[in-house]
Amino acid sequence: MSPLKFARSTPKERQAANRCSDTKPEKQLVKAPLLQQVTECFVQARRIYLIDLSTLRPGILHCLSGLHVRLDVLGLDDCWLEGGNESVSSETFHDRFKSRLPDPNGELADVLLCWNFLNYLSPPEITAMMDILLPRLSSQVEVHAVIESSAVDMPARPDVMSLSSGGIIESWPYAVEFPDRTDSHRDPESLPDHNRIPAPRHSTDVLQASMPGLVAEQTVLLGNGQKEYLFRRS
Amino acid sequence: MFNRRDPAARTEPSKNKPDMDTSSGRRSGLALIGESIRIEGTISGEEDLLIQGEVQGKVELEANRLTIGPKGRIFADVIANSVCIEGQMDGHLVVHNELVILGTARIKGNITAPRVSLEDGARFNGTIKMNPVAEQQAEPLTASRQKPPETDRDMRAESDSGASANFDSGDKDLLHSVDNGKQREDS
Repeated sequence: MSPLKFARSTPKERQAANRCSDTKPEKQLVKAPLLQQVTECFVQARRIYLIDLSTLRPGILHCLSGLHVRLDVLGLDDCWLEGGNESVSSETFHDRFKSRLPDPNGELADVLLCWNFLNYLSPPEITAMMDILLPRLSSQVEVHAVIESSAVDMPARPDVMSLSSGGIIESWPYAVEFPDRTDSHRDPESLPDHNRIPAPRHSTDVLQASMPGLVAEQTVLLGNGQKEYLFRRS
Repeated sequence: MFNRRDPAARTEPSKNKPDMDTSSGRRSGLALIGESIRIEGTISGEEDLLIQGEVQGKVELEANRLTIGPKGRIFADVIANSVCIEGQMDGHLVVHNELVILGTARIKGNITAPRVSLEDGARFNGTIKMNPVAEQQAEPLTASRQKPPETDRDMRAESDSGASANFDSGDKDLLHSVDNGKQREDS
């Protein structure tokens, strides 16, 4: 299989991106109605089980404040970076992915938060990942994802995303948030905002075909040109 | 240490910092395992403990506070009244009161705690279970559920007490602008 897309930007692409983006990246805020809809269903009377593909962030903990929760944090950002900045084969990625999955203990997740990670996987890679995750999801699961829709390119490494109050998604370039985990503290040019790769712009049909057993129940075009998806069991 | 985008945050001490100097471990009633110490086995006691070295096995401080200092490395199952993690931890962690995870922490394992405070920058891979009182009540149901029922959510709703958990989020960034004017429903 081919290496994952986050490492595929060529020097020519990076040079072109450098010319376009001289400004320091800042936090982006965008309202995400579907994510808000998901979190509004969290009530104290019911235990919630979430699987979060991203890094543990204060925002999600704050959102879960006062609730009875199980939260599985997979931290795929770090999973990609375990081998340094070298490209990661699909086999290696999925081995690391499996190793990061906590024991389900017979429980089924109510919510799967994919954030922006599906943009960095090809359809077969999405299928392979969902094959692993699907048996862990309940019959009423809500799968949330943010997909690049309008932009022709995207950061070479997934931005760090977090949930804020009022259904706001905050996002930062990974190297800005975690400079100690990348080469950015040595080479500012390696900031991911300078390294951009073509956005796959997965269509709804492609996503549904890549995730057998799930259907796109709702889609919303966000203010930043990304699309927010909410999938449920078919 | 955390919230690198906010210059003010760099100069102010963290509100989550434990009330001790973890570099020296000096505080009355505090036991210290120094940087060069490596322990295999079970540690138990009735005083607060700061670990700057390496511990493998089990740590039991049911009524006291455990601090894993920035150079501390724990490969153990831990039970403590309250825990502050600045270093590395790999294992199961049960906290009766409050868990504080600072920005330098690297954690892998399962956490059960009624309250969790997190600073930006911490690395975590594993499971966090909050509201352990209800967790214990739900345990028989979970354990007996060999084959998950269709109405998984409904069953859990019946078993839960709904007790609340509190958090002290370290992320105090304010929202400056929200571009939601272009939203539209596609379907």
